[in-house]
Amino acid sequence: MPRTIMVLLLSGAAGFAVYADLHLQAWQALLPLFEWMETTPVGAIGKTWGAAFAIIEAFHLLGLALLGGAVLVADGRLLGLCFVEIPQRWLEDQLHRVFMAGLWVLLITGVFMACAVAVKIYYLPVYWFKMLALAVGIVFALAIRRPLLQENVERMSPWLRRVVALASLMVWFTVAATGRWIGFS
Amino acid sequence: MTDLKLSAWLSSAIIIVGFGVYWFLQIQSVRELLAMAYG
Amino acid sequence: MLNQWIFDFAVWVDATRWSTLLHESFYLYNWVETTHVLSLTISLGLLFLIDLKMLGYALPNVSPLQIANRLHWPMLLGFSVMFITGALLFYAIPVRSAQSVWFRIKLLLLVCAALNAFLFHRALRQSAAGWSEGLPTPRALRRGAGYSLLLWTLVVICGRLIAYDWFDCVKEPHPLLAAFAGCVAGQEVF
Repeated sequence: MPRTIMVLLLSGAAGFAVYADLHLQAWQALLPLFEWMETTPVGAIGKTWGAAFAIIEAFHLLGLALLGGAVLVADGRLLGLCFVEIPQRWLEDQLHRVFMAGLWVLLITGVFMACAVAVKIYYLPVYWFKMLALAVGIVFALAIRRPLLQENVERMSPWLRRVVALASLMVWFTVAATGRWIGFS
Repeated sequence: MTDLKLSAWLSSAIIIVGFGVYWFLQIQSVRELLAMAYG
Repeated sequence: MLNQWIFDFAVWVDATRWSTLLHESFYLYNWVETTHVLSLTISLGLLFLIDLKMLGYALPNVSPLQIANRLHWPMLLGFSVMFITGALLFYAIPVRSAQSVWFRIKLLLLVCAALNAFLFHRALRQSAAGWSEGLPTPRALRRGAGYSLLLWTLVVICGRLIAYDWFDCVKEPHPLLAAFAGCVAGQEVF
């Protein structure tokens, strides 16, 4: 039962880490990295030219559109809300490609933006919540949801489909919302 | 139940509960702030 | 003259009670803006799926008409939300928005995008009759999809740039820019 054990271990470790304030120690250890990020050429460009930062941010939003659209349609299909006449596995494969394209755009533009404002976001709790949600989202999407849907989905319990779709939607909504929140800070 | 299905149930449940709590707390704090601001 | 009308209209809107309330609200403006930005995942997300399909990058071997039909209503719902929240954002800060070069360019692009969508729809209906799944997408539809991607990318970029005040009227920009932005000589409201 490797996957189940990994889920239990990761959740348990995360819970324990927070209980023991290990996450604060990890956070403190990351300060040099974030200070360094601002000194990189990428960081310098973003800090000097607001227009460059804004355009990269616009592409960040376009990546979000790709990822969000793929997630909405994929989870909608899982919930039986759309495209029920299209075979699940095929649609899933197709949307996964769009999802990954969106994710790469988000990650690349995200790193660029982070370098420009690294120390500022380092001190924003909402940024770290976003990174946590992002990590959970990526692991859940690639290690749990996708392999699960490679199997025979039609025989899957409808309740399992619903919780997986709901979890997926919640995670990515949280990533998007906390991301927007950073913009207000 | 297969490992895949069990891990899916488990991780989905953890996410739904965990993120649900997070959003509940966020909305709570927003409501408190609004109550303080507008009375 | 048109610029004066726009300015007068914006000043009038600015003086309304709800405009001020929205602008100075604790959270409502932020919530409206968040909804505006996040709902692009619905409107543009679904639209990009259709465009990418037409260009052959996604969802091959499925009838384009089927994809377009299925995504049509959720997509329109997303665009409605964007339009309403966009109007509210303008309503909250009318003068600066009306005189923002980026906002004006964005509106022009939106008109072009709407026109492109209309032409695309018409071409889709016309070509759907003699179409089977294996054939490549007609060139007109590929062009429409390409324009769609380009126009909406520019819309998002302009939308993001509205927040930057480099060319705001209050900063007395270059006369050509001031003319395009509709700055009114001697205006006291910004």
